[in-house]
Amino acid sequence: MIALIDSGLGNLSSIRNALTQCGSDVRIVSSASELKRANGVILPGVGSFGDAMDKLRQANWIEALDDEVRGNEMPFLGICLGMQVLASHGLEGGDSCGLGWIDGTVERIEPATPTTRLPHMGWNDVSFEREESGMSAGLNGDSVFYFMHSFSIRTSSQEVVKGVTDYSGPVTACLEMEHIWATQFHPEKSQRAGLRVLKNFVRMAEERR
Amino acid sequence: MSLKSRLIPVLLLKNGLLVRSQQFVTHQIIGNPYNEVARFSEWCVDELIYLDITRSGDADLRRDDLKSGDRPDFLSILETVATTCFMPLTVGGGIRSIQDMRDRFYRGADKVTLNTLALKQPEVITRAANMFGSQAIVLSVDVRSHPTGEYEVMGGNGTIRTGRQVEDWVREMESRGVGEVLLQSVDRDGMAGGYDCELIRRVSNAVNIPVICCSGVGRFEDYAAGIEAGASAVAAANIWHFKELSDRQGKRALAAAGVDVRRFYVPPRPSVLRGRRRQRPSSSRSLDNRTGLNSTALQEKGALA
Repeated sequence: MIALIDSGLGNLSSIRNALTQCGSDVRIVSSASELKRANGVILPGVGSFGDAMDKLRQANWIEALDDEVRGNEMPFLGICLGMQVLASHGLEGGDSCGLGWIDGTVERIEPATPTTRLPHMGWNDVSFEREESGMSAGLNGDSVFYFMHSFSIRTSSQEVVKGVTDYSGPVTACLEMEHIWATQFHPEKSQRAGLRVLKNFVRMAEERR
Repeated sequence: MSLKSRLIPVLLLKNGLLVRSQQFVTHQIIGNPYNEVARFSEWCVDELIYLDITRSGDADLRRDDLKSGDRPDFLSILETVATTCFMPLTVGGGIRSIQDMRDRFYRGADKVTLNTLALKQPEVITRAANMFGSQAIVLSVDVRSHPTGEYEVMGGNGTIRTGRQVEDWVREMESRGVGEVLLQSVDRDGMAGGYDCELIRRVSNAVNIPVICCSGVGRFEDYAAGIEAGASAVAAANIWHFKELSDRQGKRALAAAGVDVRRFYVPPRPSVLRGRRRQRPSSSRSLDNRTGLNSTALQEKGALA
C-alpha cells in the first residue's frame, strides 16, 4: 500500500487517480499513525512553504516522516512543494525551516530577462543523470514534464540532483537519494512520462518492503 | 531545451452538456461532458480548460439522448472527468468563494479560473493565491473592443460593462497574486476570424505572468499569431469539435511557424490494442498498453519533426 499524505495541501485526487492507473493500492492518510502499514509514502503539496511546514508540524508529520523515511528507510516521493520542504529552509512567505533532509534553500526563480514570466508554467524538458535507473528508468527519451511553480530548490549537494530543467537558468527538476525521491514537476499530470515515474516509484516501494 | 508553448482545448459545459459558443450568446449542443475529455486524454493534449457556463442551474432534460446523467451537477461531472484526465485541468464557472475553489481542487482541478468573483470581491483573489498558491489561480478576462481602440473588461458573461481598461485590470490582479491570465474576446468568440492580436500584445506586455489567449481561432494557422503576440499558450474551443485530429494538426501548424511545442502523440489503433492484449494477458501489461507507457512504437509515433 502506498500512503498519500493529506495535510490539507494539494489536489490529492489526481495523484490517487494516477497511482490507481499504475496498478497501485493507494490510500489517503490524514494521521501520522496510519503510516506504519505503508510500503511507501507520497507527500504532495501546493501553497506556500511556510504554510506547508506549519500544517506538517501541527499534524505531527515531521517526526513520523523522520522516523519512517529516514529511520526505517520507507520509500518516499515528494511532489512539487512536497519536494521543496525537504530543503533546510525556504524563503516563500518569510524565512522558515524545512525538513532539512537536504542541504539547500528554496528561493524564487530569478528572472533572467525582464520578459521572463513567472510562474514557470507548462511543459519543459528534463535532463536526467543516470537516465536508465531510478525514477527515470524506461523513459526512453520521453522526458518532457509539466511544471507549475515560482520557487525552486538550490542545493550545493549536486550528487542528489537527479534531473535539471532550464528556465531562466538551471532549475532543480528532481532529486534522488536512494529511497528518497522528489520531483518539482507533476508526474501525475505529465501523462505517459509522468505515469512511468510513478510506476518506477511503486516498483521501488514494492522491492524494498 | 526550453519551456514549450502550450496548445489548449477549452470545453464549455452548459446545463450538463458540452456546447459551442458564439459571441457568448448562441450555444449549440455538442455532446456529453465525458467523451471529449477521454479523447483529449488519449491524445495527450498539453492541458485542458473546462468551463461551466450554466446560467440558470437547471438541466436540459430534452436531450436525454446525450446521456450526461440525470443530475448534471458540475462537481460530480468534475469528479468523473478527473479520473480520465492525466493532464493539467483548469476549471472555471460559478466559483463564488474559497470553499467553491477547495471543492474543485479536492475533485481533481489543478487550477481554478475566476472572473466574476475577481470583479466583485478582488480581495478574495489575494486570499486564494496565498492559500492555494499563485500557480493554481487563473484570472479569466472577457474583453470587448471599442471602435475607439479601447479594450474594456466585461462582466456577467460578457454582457455587463465594467468601465475597466484591460491592462489596468490584469496588472491589479497580477499584484494580487494571480498566476496566469485566460484572455477571451467577446467580439471574436466563435467567429473563426483569428485572434485579436493587438489585445494579446497589450495584455502580454502589461504583465509578467503567463497569458493564455483564446477566442477566434478558425484555422490551425491562426494559433501561431497568438504566440507571436506574446501569449505563452494558445487556446480554442470550437475548432476542437469541428475539425479532425485537431491536436496533431494544431501542433503541426505551430511547429511549421517555428514555435517550440511539445510533440503530439498518436494513440495506438484499437485493433492494435486488442492484438497486444491477447499476447500479454497480465493486467499490468494491458494497463501499459492503455496508457501507451510500454508501447515500443512510442518514439516514432510521437515524433513531430
